[in-house]
Amino acid sequence: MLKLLGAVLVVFACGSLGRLVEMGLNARKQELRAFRYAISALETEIAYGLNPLPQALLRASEEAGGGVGKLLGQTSAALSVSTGENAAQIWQHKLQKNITKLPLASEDFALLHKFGMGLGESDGEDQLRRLKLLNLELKAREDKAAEMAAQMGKIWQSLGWGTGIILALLWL
Amino acid sequence: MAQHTSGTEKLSGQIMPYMITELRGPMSHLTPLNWQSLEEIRFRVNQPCAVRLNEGSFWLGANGITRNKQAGLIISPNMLSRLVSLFSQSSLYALEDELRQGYITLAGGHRLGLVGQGVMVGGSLKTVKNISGLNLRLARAVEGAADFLIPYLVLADASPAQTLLISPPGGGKTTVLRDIVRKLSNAEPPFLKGYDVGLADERSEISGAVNGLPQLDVGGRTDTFCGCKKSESMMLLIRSMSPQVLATDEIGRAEDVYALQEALNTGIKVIATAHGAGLAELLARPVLGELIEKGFFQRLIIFKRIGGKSVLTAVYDEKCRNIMEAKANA
Repeated sequence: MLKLLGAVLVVFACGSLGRLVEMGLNARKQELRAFRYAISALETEIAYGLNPLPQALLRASEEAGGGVGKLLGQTSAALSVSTGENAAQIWQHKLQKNITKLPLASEDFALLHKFGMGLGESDGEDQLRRLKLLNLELKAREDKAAEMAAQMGKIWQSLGWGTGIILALLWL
Repeated sequence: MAQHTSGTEKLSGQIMPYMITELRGPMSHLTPLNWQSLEEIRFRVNQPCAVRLNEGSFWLGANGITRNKQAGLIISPNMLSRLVSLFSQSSLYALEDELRQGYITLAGGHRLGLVGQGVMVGGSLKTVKNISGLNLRLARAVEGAADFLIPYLVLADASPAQTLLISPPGGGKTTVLRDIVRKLSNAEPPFLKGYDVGLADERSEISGAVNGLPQLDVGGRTDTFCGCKKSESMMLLIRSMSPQVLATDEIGRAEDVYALQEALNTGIKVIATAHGAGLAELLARPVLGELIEKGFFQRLIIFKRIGGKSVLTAVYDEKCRNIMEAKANA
């Protein structure tokens, strides 16, 4: 009886592990999407609102939500209190501090670094050009992440359950 | 003294947030007396940070103000770029109009001049990139700044004369005009009554307005129109606020003349300023010269700055007679 209970537990544990990996893949896709929403909101703030960056970042953070939204909100708050650092420096510091909390792949962080470089330091045309370019890169990255989440998610789930069942059978 | 200390604290509180971390240490060595006489801070790429006090020009070194250029803190391109970010709240894109004018007005009415590489589109300046130099000019309301010329500003019936204040750049015209506006508005001596003043403050420098709200004392009966071409804001003020006195800074463009004449026709007194060092120089200027020759201004008051104080050079009446000389001879 105990052996049977143990086997059921092994099946569920392995299945849950597979599910966790699948959720991680989906979280990355959602975080990339949130970042893209933030970029679009920032584009609107710069192009039409002509709002100062602290205000624009705050709006973008509300629009985006998620970990990236929090980062944008923190950067906006730090800019408002004037620490002697500019937006690019503040963004890099916040990013370094929160890098492990974001469900992103290492190659995605390059895009986050890129976002901070030159933030608010040139005219509207240049800022919009940079944001549009970043948006395109993010879209491509998000599509890839979505594809990977769809394919690999199923594989990981099946693998989890399958491994659990095999282990349970071997044990029994 | 306590008032001076709180004034300097307020000023340093307005300026320090714009300073990058490398400059905060040296700036913290400025004494209250330094702050009190501080007029300008200049940041130029690969040059030491220059500071102008009432007493003259100095450099900003690691331990504060110094006369030794070698001890001055060198501003690197990266430092200047970060300074621009802080002054613009990392929002250079929102300041394109200001960049075209060559300056940004900061909270407190302080003015940041910028130079760099102009970007021309269709023959006109679109924006400025690769900024290579900044000039932070501090604005402060100096009560009594106009006292040295007030006797010439008042006519026999105690009303203000149509006046043009003239001095070279950095001569203190704006500070003097601000003091006159406040005196007129608040009925301070020698004015026996208060006047409704329309202040056409194109660069928000007179009132130090931020988001349209004056930060410096321009008087209780003053209506300020800022951020708009002075010719347009003068017309708007005449139409909408019926001022008794119209005050504006740095006239000289052809379109200003129409607005000034409109004011004259409606019986409004005008007090304005212009760059210049002498009457002959002003008469040679195409627009201003004509106005002066027509006798538009009842008083042309020329002054300059010596040792941190404004000193009268000459005062002319509408017929360009030097009344200061006549008064001295009498």
